[in-house]
Amino acid sequence: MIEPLLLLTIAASVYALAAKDLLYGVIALSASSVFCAWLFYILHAPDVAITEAAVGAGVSTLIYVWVIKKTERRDSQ
Amino acid sequence: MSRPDRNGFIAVISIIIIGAVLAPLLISEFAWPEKARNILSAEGNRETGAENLVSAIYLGYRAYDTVGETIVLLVALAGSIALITKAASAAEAGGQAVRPRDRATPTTLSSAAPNSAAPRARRSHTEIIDTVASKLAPIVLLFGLYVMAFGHQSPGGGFQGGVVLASGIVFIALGRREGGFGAIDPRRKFFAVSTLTAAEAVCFALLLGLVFVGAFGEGFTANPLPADGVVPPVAYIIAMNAAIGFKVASGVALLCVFMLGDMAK
Repeated sequence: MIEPLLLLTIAASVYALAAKDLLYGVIALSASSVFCAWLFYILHAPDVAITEAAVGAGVSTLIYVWVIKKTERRDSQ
Repeated sequence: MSRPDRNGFIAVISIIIIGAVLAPLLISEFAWPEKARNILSAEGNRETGAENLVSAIYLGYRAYDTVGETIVLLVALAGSIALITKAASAAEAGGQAVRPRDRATPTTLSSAAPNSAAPRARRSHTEIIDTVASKLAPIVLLFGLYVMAFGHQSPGGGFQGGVVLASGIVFIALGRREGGFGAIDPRRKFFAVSTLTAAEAVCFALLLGLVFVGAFGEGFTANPLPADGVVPPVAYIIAMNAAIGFKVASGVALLCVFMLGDMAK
């Protein structure tokens, strides 16, 4: 169960880095946080899992979306 | 060297550095430290009253550090909110100078602008967000309260519960039909910006008060409740969890509500 979650986390993180549309990148980052939270739960750290889910997938996504709204949605490269 | 080449080169270098940092941990024969762990699992519950050993550490043994962490969080939130409100007021002051020029260039749009501005502001506020956010909010708030209030027994605690509560408040801000995103209806006082500010201040004062109450016993942040008293010692941990939880909830929710209100403009 751990290996598929690790692979999903890495896949979501790589997509978040590679995405040209930054909004998609933020959503992928949020997904990778959710996979991480799941991993923490499996590894018997439910405290960290709750924090990761609430901060990583919730509040930080909102902050990134706000920043994208304030700046540019597309990567300039 | 072209740009993709250079990025690949930097990636390889980063992986080598990370490997060099982690290798000693992976190949080390040195035994994991067990003494502190054994002391905690044997004495943690008895000494602090908290069944959840994470709570026993951060509110029992290391409460001073927790208070420092709370102060850091308060300063960070205050700074962010100051920046957001300053940027918003600067944009309002500068926007009046810029806006006529923007509207003057497309001549066909300038006549339709007053009509199209209002629906465009509301379009980002769909039925899905209204319904889901307002139905989900009470459940999220209840879960946040549970995580916060039972942090001494089950996984969770003030910080975790506080952030979950904050996301519940953000759901409420999203689900309010009138006033749009986060620009909370002025007729409703509950969860308004002024209420959240007051809650943050009161809870921080309460937390500092709890810290100083310990000075009547052994010292600052020490649990003042005797082990055999009428009130069990765990009540001190519950009270600190609640103060931290409501403080974090109001602070983070305040930041998010400011950002949502800024997005709606």
